Amino acid sequence: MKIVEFESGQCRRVRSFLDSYLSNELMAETNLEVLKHLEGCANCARALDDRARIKEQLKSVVLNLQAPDSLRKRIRSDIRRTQKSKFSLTPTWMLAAAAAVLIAVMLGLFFRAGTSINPPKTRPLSLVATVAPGDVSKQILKVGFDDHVYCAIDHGMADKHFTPEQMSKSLGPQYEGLVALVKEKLPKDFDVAVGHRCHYQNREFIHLIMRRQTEVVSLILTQKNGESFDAAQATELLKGTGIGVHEASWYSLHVAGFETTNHLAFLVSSEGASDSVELATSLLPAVGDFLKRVTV
Amino acid sequence: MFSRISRADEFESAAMPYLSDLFRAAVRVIGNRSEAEDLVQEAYLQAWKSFDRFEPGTNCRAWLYKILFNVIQHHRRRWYNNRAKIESDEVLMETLGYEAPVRQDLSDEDVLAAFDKIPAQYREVVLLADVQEFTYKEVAETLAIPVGTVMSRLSRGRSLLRQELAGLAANYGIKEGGRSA
Repeated sequence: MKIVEFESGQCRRVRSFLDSYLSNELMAETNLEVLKHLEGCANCARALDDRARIKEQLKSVVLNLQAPDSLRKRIRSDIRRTQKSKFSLTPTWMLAAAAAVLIAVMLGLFFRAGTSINPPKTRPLSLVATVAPGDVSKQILKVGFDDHVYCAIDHGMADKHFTPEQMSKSLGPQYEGLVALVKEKLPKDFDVAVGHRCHYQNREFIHLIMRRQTEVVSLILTQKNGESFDAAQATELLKGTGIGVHEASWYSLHVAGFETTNHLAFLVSSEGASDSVELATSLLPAVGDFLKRVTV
Repeated sequence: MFSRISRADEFESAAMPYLSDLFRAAVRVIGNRSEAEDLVQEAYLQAWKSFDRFEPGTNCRAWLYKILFNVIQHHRRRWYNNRAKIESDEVLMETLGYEAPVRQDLSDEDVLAAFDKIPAQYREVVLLADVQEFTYKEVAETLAIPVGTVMSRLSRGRSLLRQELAGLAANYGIKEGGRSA
C-alpha cells in the first residue's frame, strides 16, 4: 500500500482510535480527545463517517441472506435418520420401553378414573412469590416476577439467543428500538440475548433478557390493567429522577418496578449481583423516557 | 426411546434458529454457496452428535459457530492446503497513514465484492466481530486464536476493506471524469 504522509501526527493518532471510538471502547479521556479533534478536523470527521457507514452497510448486506429451505430439510432429515439408526440397533430395548409406557398409561387411567376429567392445567411456576394481603406494591411487582419465572426460567428462554431480526420481528416496530437503547445503557459485558413478546395469565409482555456469563436479567414491560403503585411505598433507588421505584425480593431474585401513565416496567435480576442497583439506575430512567414515546 | 425423540426436538429448537446466521457466515468465509451449504450441514450433524455434551444455559449460538469454524478449518486443510494465501500478521502496521475517501453511494454488491476480496483470516474476524457482534473473547474462542490476534486482525481487516472500497471510489471517479469530458 502507498503511504502518503500529509496529515498531522494528531490526525494519525485519532485515526488509530476511530474504530474503538465507534464501538464505544475508549477510556473517557481518549474519547474526549477524539471528540475534540473531530470538531475541528473535517478529514477525520469524514473518516469516522466512512467507517460507520461501511460497518452498517456491510452488516445489513451480509445479514440479508437467508438459508435455503432445502438446507433446512437436509439437516432435519440427517437428525431424524441418525436417530432412527440408533433405535434400530436396540429392538429388545424398544420393546421393553413400549411395555413400560403401556403400563404407565394404564396405571394413569386407573388412578384418574375416580377424578373428574379436567382440562390440562398450566404447569405451576417453579418459584411462587407470596405477597401479604393488602401489599399493593408487591402485588404489582409479582406480575413482573411471575413472567420472569414463567418465561426466562421455566420455559428456558434465558438459554436462547435471538438474532436481531428475530427480535425486531417479535417486538414489532413500536418496541424494536428498545433493544438498541438497552444495549447502550448496559455495561459492555452484558449481552441482550432475547427480545420478544410473551404471554402469561392473559397478559402480554415485552420481554428482554440480558445475560452476562451465568447472570440473567429480565426487563419486562406490560400495559397497565388498572393497577397503580402506592407512591408512598416508593424507595430511594432513583431519587432525584422523578421516578418512584418499588422493590421486592423473592428467592434471591430482586425486582425493581415503576409505572408510567400506561405501562408497568420491571427489572428482575439476581439479588446481591454486584451491580443490580447500578443496572436499575442506568436502565430504568431511559426505559421511562422510551415508554413516554410509546403510543398505546 | 421417547427421551431420544424429545432430544431431537430439543436440539432443533435450540440450534435451528441459527441456521441462516451460520449459513451467511459460511458463504462469506468460503465464498461459494453450495460448499457453504455442505459445511453448514456437516456442522449441524456434528453438533447433533455431540449435543449431549452441550451444557444447557450456555450460549448455543457461540457453540454452533465454534463447530462450524472447526469444520471450515478442516475443509480448508483438506482442499486448500497449498493454495490458501495466509498473510503474516506481522505486516500490520504499514497500513496506517493516508486514508482515501470512500464514496457515499456504494451499492450493496460493491461492498460485498470488496469484502470477499479480503484474505480469509481477516474476513472471518471482521465477520464475527462487526457483523455478528461477537465479543473479542468469543471470536478468539470460535477461531481458537489469542484475543490480541483477534484485535490486530480486526484492525487490519477493516483497513483492507476501506482500501478496497476507496479503490472503487477512485475507479468510479476516473469513469465519471471520462464521461463528463
